[in-house]
Amino acid sequence: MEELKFRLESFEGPLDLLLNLISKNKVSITDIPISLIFDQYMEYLGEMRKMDMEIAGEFIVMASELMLIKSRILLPKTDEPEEDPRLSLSAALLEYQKIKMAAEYFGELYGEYSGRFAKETTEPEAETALGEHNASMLTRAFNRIYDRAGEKELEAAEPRRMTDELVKRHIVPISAKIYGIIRYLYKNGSCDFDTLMLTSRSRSELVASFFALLELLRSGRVLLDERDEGIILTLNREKSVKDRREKKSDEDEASGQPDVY
Amino acid sequence: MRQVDNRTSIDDSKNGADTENYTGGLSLSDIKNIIEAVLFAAGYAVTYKKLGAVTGMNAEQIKTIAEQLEGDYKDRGIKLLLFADSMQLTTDEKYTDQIKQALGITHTSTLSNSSLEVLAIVAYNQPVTKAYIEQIRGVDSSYAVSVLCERGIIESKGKLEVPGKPNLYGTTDEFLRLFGISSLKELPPIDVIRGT
Repeated sequence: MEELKFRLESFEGPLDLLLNLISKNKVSITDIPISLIFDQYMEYLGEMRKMDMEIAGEFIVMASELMLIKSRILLPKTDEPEEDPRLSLSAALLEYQKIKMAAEYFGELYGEYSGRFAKETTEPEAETALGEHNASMLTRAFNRIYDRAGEKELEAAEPRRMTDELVKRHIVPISAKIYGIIRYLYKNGSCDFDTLMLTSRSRSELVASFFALLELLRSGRVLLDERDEGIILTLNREKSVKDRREKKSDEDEASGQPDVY
Repeated sequence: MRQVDNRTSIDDSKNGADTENYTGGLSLSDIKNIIEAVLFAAGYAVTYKKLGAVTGMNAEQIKTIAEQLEGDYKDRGIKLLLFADSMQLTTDEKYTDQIKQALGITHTSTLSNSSLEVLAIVAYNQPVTKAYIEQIRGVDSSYAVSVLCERGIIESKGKLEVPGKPNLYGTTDEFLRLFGISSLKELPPIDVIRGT
C-alpha cells in the first residue's frame, strides 16, 4: 500500500489501473480477489483526489461496477445458480491486456521503422493570378448562383417567419468560410463551383463564401480549372501542407522542416 | 520482336529480363524507369493499377516487374516497398540518424501509448468503430483516433449501417510503411505477442 502513496502513476484508464493492481498483488486475472482489488482501487482514487487530480468519469463508472460485483459475491442469489459475477470483468481485462502487449510491440516497430522518410509530392507551381477570362467566368457563375440562392430563400421565407424571433441572425465571418472551404476540399478532393457555393444557406452566407473563395484563389491555395462539367476547384496541396505543419499536434514540433511522413 | 539492347546496366539480363517490346512500344527498361520516376515524384504509395494505366499494363504485370525491381534496390540508401496493391520509395531506416542530422531534424516522431493501443485494436479487429475501440480500452479514445487519422495511419473505410452511421476504421499503407511490414498478414497473432 505504501507504493500507492508515494508514486501516483498515470494510467490509460480504469482497466489499465486494474491490470496494474492485479500484477502488483500477483494475482490472476481469471481469479480476482474482488474485495482486495476494490479496496486498493478506491484508495488510488482517493489519492488522486488528494492530489487534486481530475478523475475521468470512466474511473468512477468502474468503481461502481466493482462495487456491484463485490456485492453480488457477498450476497449470492440462492434460488438460481448465477455465473461468476467477475466473468465479464476478467474477459475485458484479458482483452485489454492483449491489446497493451500488441501496443508495446507496435511501439517497438514504430521506433525501428518510422525513420523511413517518404518525399512530399512534387507538384509544379500553380498559376496564382486570376486571368481576365477567369474573372468574368467567375462573375457569371456567381450571379447565376446568387439568383438561385435568392429563390431558395424565398421558398423558405414562409415557415422561417415564425421562428425569426427565436432564431438569431446567422452571421458568418469570411475567415470561417475560408477554413470551411479548405476543409471541404481537403475531404472531398475537388468539387465544382456550384456545389461548393450552394453549401451556403442564405444569400449573405453565399457572399461570404464567394469572398472566401476569391481570397483563396488570390493566395493560390485553391486552384481553378474550367472544364465541360463546370468550374472545378481543387486544393493546392503544396500550400496546405505548410499550413498543416503550423497546426501540428504536440507530438511533432517541426517548423519549416521537411515532413517525416 | 527483339529490340537493340541499348539499356543501362541496371536492366541487364541478370534476372533474365527480356528486351521485348511491351504494348505501347515501351521496353521493359522504359517501364521500370517510369515506375521509378512516378514513385519518386509521388512520394506516397502508388497503386499497381495506376502505374499500369500509365504504362499500358495491368496491375498484375506491374507487380511482377516490381518484384524484379525490388532486387535493384537492395543495399541502397533508398528502399522499394511492395504492398498488396501499391508500392513506394522510402529511405532505408538504417540511415535515419544521418538523415536527421543532415536535415537538421531534432525531434523524434512518436506515438503515445493511447495511440498505440487504439492502433492495436484497429489493426487486429478492422474494420472497427470508435465505440468498439472505447469498449475495449474502457476510455474515451477520440483524440487518439484523430491523431492516427491525421497521420494517415488509420482511415475511415466506410460506415456501419446502424443509426448514427459511425465510421469504420482500418489501417492504411502508411501504417505498413511506418511499422516495417508489407501486409497485414505479417502481423503476429495477438495471443502470441508477449511483453518484454
